Amino acid sequence: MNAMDHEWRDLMADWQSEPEEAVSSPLSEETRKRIRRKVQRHGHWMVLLTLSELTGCAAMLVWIWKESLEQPRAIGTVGFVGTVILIVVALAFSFWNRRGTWKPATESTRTFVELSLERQRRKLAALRFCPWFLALELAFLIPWSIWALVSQPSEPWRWLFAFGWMAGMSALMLAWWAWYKRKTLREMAEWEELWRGLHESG
Amino acid sequence: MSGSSSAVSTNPEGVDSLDVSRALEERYDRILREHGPALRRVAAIYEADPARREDLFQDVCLALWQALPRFRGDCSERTFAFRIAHNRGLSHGWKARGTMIPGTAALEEAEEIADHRHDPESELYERDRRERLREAVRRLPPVARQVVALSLEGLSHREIGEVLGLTENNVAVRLTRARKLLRQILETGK
Repeated sequence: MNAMDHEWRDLMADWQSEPEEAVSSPLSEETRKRIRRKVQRHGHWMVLLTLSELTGCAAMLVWIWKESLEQPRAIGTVGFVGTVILIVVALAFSFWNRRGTWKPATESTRTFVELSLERQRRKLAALRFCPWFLALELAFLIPWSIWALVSQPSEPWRWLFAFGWMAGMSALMLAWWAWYKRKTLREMAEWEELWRGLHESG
Repeated sequence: MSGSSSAVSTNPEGVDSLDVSRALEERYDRILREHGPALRRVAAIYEADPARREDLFQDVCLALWQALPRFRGDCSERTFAFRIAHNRGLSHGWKARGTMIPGTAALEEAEEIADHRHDPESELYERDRRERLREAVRRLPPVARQVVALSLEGLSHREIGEVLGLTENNVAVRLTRARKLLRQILETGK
């Protein structure tokens, strides 16, 4: 056995020597319960997320339907159909963009890093989709709002409210988009660095 | 966990799911009993702050619990537990980066174990050596850190390869490099 091996064995002994009290305590019952609750919550989280998306969309459709009944027939119908199309496009992209990324976390580090990178890529895909979707929404909402407002006598505040709301929501969405893109790119660079570390030739 | 959600049903083989659930609980307990200290050391290479390290360890336990029903024995339980711990550690590393002051954490940890000492001087010396080694390992690049930590736990090249998804030869080469780097850090502190 050479000096390097001896030195390594000493390091292994140092590494594995721990005061028993500090490391061997099993999880308490309270901790176990907490973990169990967390696991159950995590298990339901994805289902809840999907259900909440669907419920939110359904609620929006009901609201738009009721609103459209108060409009002249043509404007109401176009408004409702346009909203349905926008919701279908958003949901379809959302479900499609999540495909194949819900794998169990038991793979090797290499596959775990690759999955994490794939998730970051999907986030970027969603971020690329966002401005286009916003543009699509505005391309529909602006002409439709003008049409709805000029088709009946409207006070100035209605114009202000409609366009103020659209401008405010667009600004909020763009601000979130910029922040989230920076965050995602930063995280992705870190995962890529690790990926390169794993793939560099031995 | 999945077992608890189906506690009253019976699977096609006729085995009561309650038994499956109990078996999983026992297996989980045993893995923690046998490998808990090593999993805590894995947490220590990703997080120097004792409180956050404990949180990370709890996360590792949670991930282990979640993944256990899917474990089909394609590797040893130890390899399986290390895979989960290192993957959790990597995720934790990105989230908690740059938030700790090493000196403060070392002091807190010293206080944490102070009550357990029987021979304060020798145990303090041992503790210092251990903490110096941990700190040196923490300063390695991520992949080298994983290879070194797994080797220090006594895993073979094949087992390390199974955890990281690398070939044995690749592990051997990386380990040689990482050991040199570790020695350099231990000797020079850089």
